[in-house]
Amino acid sequence: MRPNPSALVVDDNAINRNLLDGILRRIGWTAILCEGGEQALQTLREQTFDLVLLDLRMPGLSGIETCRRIRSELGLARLPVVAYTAHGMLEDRDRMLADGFNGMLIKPVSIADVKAVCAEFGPAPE
Amino acid sequence: MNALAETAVGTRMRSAWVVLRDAETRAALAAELSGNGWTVSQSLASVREALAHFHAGVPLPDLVVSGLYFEDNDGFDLMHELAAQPGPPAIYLLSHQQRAVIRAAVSLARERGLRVAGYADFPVSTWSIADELSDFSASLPEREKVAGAAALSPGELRRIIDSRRIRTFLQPKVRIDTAEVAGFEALMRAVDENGAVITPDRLIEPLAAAGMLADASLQVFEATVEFLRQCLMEGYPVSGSVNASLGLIADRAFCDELTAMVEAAGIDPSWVTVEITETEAMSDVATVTERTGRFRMRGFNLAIDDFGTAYSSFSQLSRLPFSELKIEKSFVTWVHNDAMRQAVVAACATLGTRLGLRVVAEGVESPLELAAVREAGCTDVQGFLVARPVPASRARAWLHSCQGVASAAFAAQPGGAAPQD
Repeated sequence: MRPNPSALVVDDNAINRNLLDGILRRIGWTAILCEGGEQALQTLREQTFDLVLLDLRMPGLSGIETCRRIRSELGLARLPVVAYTAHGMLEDRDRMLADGFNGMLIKPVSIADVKAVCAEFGPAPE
Repeated sequence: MNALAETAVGTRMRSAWVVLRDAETRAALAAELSGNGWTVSQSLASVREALAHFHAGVPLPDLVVSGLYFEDNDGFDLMHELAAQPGPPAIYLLSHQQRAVIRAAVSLARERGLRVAGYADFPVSTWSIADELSDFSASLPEREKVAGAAALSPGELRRIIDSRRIRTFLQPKVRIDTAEVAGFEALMRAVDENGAVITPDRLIEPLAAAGMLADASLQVFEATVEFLRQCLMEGYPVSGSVNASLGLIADRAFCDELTAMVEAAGIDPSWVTVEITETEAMSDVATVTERTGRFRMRGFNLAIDDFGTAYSSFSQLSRLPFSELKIEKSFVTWVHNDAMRQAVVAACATLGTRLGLRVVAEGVESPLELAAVREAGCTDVQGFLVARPVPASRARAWLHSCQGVASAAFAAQPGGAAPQD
């Protein structure tokens, strides 16, 4: 049997991290939680994931800078990285895609939103 | 001479006047109402006669059923006079006039502070009106209470705030596509020294007039933020909406306090949506734009409340960074039956969703209204169909009881939201 798909959750807010962790578990994923960009980059050097959920507004390394380094420094061009953000306007979406993100998860999230993002970017079901 | 006018007023009966030109309809309606729990204390052929009764000091009924067009004084005159009475009766309009005129009359009645029991155009069956009015009768407050409620003085308002007698009620907002509980709107109430609820109409305006709305609002925000923290910790992804005027948003100290509150609770500010209602034109556009922009930069969400009414306009929508658009109840009530409202709701939904905003229909009370706003393209609903506002202390129990999915409220709806797997 194939192991559960895995997500890396990067958010400086502890309540958000735990909430996403709970939602991902409920829909059959596993999650590793990171507090910031540097920690995320380090974790990605050590482990592989099916999906990264990356908060944009973080102290230290921003979400956009973290995404850039995932692509350039780590060379993970095909890893799906989804921006987790309160910027919901369609014009923001175009900009996110240009910045190297594969998609957006708009705050405040619902379980259905997380499920949809996982279905779109996660591994195809067996 | 009219025998019905002599009927004794029963202690628990509701009283009504019927003011209609057409004698046959008048008699039929009076008979139907009398058989449905009403005492028809006056049956009159003209507004002029009704006005004469007011001026003679005849006791007012709970309800006046009236036509609009009469030979001399018309229904507008009647509403004008009714609105000037203390604790005025509710009104039900019955007219041959074109619908746009009836709607204008309904708006005018509300504008004047009258309670509208409903309206109908001809041809209509008198029994269906009586049926509609018997539901309305059950919802009427006792007249003595309405009439007896005196205005609160600034001193009393200050004591309410200082003794923390502001109460937060929460009303759920639900996603139409999945029936998930997306969030709660916080509504301000208060209790008097004996613990009796002070209704919003006696509270919000007087607080604003006394310059105490910011203080009272902060108590509501505090309760809402604490509620959100608890829900999020339990794994329910729900947001909280609080109401504020643009004036409040433009007050930097107020915004700093709200930010500090959210930081102290440890929640991401995007779980908090500030709903902006505007009843006055913006006096200082630059300041408002700056402050709302800063608010959004801090991570809060902004909703434009009562869109399409008063000063909630296209110019605000284009200038300020909103994330949600709320359609006012008056466009949603009876939307399934009214082509004008369908057009308004559909236009708002199209506009909002094309801008990437959530579009919330407020005041959804029936499965038919839900079906209509879904059809129009709204993304979320709020209203009695899902739940009435409940005290913050009880809202979490409500959320637990439905496990965060309000599918029961949608169950009566053919083609309702699919159950979550």
